[in-house]
Amino acid sequence: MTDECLKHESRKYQVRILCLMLLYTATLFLSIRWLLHNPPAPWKYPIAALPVLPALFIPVAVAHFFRVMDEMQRRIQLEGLAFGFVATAILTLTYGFLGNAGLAQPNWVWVWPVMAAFWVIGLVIAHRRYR
Amino acid sequence: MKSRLREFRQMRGLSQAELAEKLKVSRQTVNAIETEKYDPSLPLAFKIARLFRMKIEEIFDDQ
Repeated sequence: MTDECLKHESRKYQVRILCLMLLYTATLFLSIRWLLHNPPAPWKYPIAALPVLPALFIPVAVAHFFRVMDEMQRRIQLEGLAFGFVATAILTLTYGFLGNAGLAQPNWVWVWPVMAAFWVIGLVIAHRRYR
Repeated sequence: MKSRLREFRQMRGLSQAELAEKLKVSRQTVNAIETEKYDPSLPLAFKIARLFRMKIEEIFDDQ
């Protein structure tokens, strides 16, 4: 993929991710608001899980972007993902062990933002390596 | 892996961007191959060799 194509595809990818994140935030806000202001109902679980629907399309957008990259960019992304995966595994495992000693356990919702943050750190490190 | 890509590219008067365009990769990839920070895959190495009408081992050396 040439630089022009990459810029174009990167822009498309960023717009897609941004739209999906906005949709995710909106559904999350609506679902929390609904759960807070309504009595428990049988459909409370589907409502609580509603933000997962737009989030399901994020891997589709990521996979598409992976397919259109050239081989070195794919390597950089893979190294970033590997760093994010391993760092998150170590952090969550450590936190789990600390929980055995009585440390308060965070909500599972935080696992993904932590992984995304490590992914970005991994990408920065990988980009520097091949610059 | 040792790479003589920069030498052969410059001999043909190509910029990194022009070579990247011909190889359908990014300029960053061409630069990383030239500075020996990234080893190209076999298909990309063949593509480079075919473009320069040379053998792969004339451009890249793993010794």
